Amino acid sequence: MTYLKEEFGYFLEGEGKELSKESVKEEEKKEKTKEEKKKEKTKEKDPEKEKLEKERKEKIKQLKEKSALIQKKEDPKERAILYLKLLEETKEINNKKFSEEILEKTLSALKEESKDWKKEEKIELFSKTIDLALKNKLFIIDKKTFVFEEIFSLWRKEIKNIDPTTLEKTKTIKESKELIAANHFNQKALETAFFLSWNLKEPWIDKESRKEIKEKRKEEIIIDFTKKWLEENNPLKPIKENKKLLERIQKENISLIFEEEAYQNVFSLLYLKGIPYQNLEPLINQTLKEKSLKEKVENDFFNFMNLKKEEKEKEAQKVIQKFGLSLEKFTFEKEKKEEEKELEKLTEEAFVQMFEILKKSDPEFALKLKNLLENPEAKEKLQEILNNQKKEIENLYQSISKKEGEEKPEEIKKQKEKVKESLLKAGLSLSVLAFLMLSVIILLKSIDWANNMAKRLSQVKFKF
Amino acid sequence: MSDNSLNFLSSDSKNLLLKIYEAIIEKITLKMYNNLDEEAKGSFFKIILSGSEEEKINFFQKYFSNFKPLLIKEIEKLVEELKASKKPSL
Repeated sequence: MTYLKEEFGYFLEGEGKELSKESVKEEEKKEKTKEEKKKEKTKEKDPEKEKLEKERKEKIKQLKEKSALIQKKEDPKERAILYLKLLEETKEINNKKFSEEILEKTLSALKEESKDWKKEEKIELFSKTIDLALKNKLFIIDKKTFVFEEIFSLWRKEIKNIDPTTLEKTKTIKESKELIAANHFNQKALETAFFLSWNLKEPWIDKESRKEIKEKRKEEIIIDFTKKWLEENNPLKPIKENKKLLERIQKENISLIFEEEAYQNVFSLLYLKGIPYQNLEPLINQTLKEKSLKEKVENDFFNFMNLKKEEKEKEAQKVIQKFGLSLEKFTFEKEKKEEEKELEKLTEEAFVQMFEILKKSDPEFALKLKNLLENPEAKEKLQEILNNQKKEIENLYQSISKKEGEEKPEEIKKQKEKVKESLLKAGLSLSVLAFLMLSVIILLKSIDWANNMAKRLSQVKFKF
Repeated sequence: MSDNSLNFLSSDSKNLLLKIYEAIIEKITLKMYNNLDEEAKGSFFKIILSGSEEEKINFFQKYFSNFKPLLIKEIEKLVEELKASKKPSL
């Protein structure tokens, strides 16, 4: 038999401490002393509250006694079932520490082997335990990593029965579900595992492809995207500054939610639109300073967790209604700003300048280029070239990281945005690359480099 | 200008070429930035963001004079790669 360690992991019988009656009493004693001290501080108490508190204490005592009795059961299956029942009962006493303790004991029992314990029964019990733990928010505790790890180690054993290569071939969730059903795999178990995986800081299953995730790239992309989205779509700004919209909202009697609640709704919306909690967590921590507000946001997430896709969409619509905005305003397809359009135009102009010079070097350049690009192989090749260029760019950023520290590339990326903004504001426009692209144009236009450039390019002889 | 010159290309091809063009410029910029000395690195964004036109031109002439040949080299490379993808008519 194994017993739970205080932190993460297990130790064998005799190596650790068992929860004896003495220790239970000792704990009760400690709790009593605490309670007494509290009582002294607040001498005048509401009699009704006192009564409730007394009942609660009595209930805790009963449950602890039950727990001590369950511990004595030798059959792990019996113990798991009883602990699970006890876990349900702990909801009434509002004592997270104790609930957490029972959760650990339940999981510990589930980890043990027993002859007449069918795999399906075990999985079913697991699912119920996790469901209950999630409903009672028992994952927002220090030991969540431990809980997840333990469950995953068990789920992995189950999941390995499915050939991952076959699963990968399924294109949609529906297909993968069908495949799982065809393999007589416990759907609930797998879904629970997927669900839990997406709530880990480092998920090991991708939500869309259901492939294992080995790097954090996707998470980073989503976080970056969400940050940008929040910056650019601050729900407060457009409403407060848009008189017409305010009038419409007033006319249609739509309630407005400002300040903190607006953010609460934004996060709800992001979550309902499919961004997982672990990806939103850093953003929440950065944006919301008030603990109570963070809790509100997390509470919302817990309420949304078990919703089906269509239900999530309905909830999202409700949130949108609160803002009095149309759905389009909250789609993740960001509309291009005028400045960006301008920027694209200028990039194209720079390219065209180069192109014009190339045309001079070969009068049939345009036609040849057209013919070449009509070839599907060439298109593929261009896409491949683009991908390679992107990889090289990423490597260069990494090389800058090595030389100048991890923060440097981020700084460059930020500065690039600033450059862009500054140039656009100044009416110069040109992106990123910004100034360098601009430099080419400046040089071509104004510093007499144009001739030199044309000369140089004409010597290059691009022959298609 | 841009509308007329590239109109013979399909929008897919045009977008792809523009993306490659941007990527090439970003790559060259980063390569050159990576090779700058510490002092120049320090001035890089400062001058771009708040320097005068003259300062900007001077800075690029001093530190980015290789930009043009590198760009040409990259375009040549691109052309060669494209040529390799379509054998018969090149």
